Amino acid sequence: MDNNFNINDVIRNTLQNSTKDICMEENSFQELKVRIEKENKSLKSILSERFYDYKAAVKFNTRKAVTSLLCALLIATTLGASFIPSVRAAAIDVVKTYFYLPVKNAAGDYDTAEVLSDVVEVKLCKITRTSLSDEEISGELNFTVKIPEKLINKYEISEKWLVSGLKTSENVFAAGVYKLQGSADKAKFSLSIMKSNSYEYKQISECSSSDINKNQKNLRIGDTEVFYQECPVLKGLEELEMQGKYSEEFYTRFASEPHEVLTAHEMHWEQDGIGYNLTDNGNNLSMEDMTAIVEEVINSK
Amino acid sequence: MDNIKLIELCRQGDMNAFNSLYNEYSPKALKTAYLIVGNKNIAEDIVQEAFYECYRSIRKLRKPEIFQAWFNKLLIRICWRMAAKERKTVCGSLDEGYDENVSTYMSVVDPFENSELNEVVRKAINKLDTPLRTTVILFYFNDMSIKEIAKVLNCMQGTVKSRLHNARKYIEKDLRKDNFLFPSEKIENANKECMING
Repeated sequence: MDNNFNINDVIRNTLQNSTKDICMEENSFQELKVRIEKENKSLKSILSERFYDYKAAVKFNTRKAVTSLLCALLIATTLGASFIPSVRAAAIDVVKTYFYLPVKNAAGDYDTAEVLSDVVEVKLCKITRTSLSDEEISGELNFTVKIPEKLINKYEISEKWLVSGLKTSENVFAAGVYKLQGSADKAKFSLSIMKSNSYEYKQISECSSSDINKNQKNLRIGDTEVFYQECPVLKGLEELEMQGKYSEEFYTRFASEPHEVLTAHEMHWEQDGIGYNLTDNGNNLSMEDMTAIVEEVINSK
Repeated sequence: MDNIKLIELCRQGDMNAFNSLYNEYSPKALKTAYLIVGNKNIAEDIVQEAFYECYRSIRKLRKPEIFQAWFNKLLIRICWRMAAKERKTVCGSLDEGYDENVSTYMSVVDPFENSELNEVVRKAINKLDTPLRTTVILFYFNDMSIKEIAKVLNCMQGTVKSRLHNARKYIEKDLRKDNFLFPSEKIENANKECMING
């Protein structure tokens, strides 16, 4: 501490004494004044006043210039490379995403085909389970949902779903119907209900004439015309639906993973502005049973 | 006139106010520049340049109360620039000692034995590199705080502290080399002698 105090004192005194005789020359301010006045009249000063610091503005900054040049070179190279077909193909290959859709093969059976996501714009929908009653669902959807709890005394509703992520603002209601009798006979099917003028129902009705479908028939149950057909469906569809890996566009079903394809049986009809779609999702429900179910749903109104 | 009012007038381009400002700050600025570059003529040029820059840029100064620190920053920047430009001349003069025309031998009451000590310290300060020397000068000669020095030199306060510490260490080393001992060391040595003789 004592040492520090002494050395500090010594330094301070030395610096003071070293500059004791240093003083400004008498006319030094006059020289400065002349210089300022001279500069004030020059163009430099005018520029300086107008542009605040003209020196900085015109000063060539080497680092900035080199950085700009390198950036320009990089941009030019990237732009140039983007026009080279092999580079473009490689870039697309990196970002491409495949989807899988069911197709009919030469033998008339169903199979999956790999498609690039940029070929068809695929929008995956999400289905959520609901525990709401029919009345509550009707309130939610703005249309009346009314289906018997039991169908042809063999099948009863086990699950209800609301489908979201579709193009219309109104959701689609779907009810999963399971056969409960006997473990050997595990046939299950689903019944979807939506407004007949909705985008989703139009997809079903307009695309039912697609080449991919088989055994199309028009049936008449009472006064109602019912359309029947066989179509491809991805195996494990419900799981895909629940995981959001499934999409239905123009009645073509896509999955984000390759899947086995089954033959599903469908019936759709329109009644009082509501569209219905009954499908067994490849579970081989007999046409007689399906007809009986449709009849029961129609007659329940 | 109050310094803040003076600076305000300078900002409006008042030459008389600038003259007053010059008279007030130039002596200290000259001495600071002289201590940094070690040449009176260069120091005068630096002060002229610093005040010229000051006149041109004083409009940019938003807070007149920090004029001193702002001006010192300007001055130090020019000092370092000129020192770098005149490095050979400056190094020569530093090696040989300060200007011979200027009397550097002090007549003030010396805290220690003689003016020899001051001469050794002066040479030790001259041997320091420019940032260290500038820090020492701003701290001991301009009585600036570590915080102010950090702002002027545009560095961290820790850097200023370490520079001061290193500078003191070098100066002490030079003093010991020339057989200058501090009072406490003298007492310690005396005690040791007593022990041996006793």
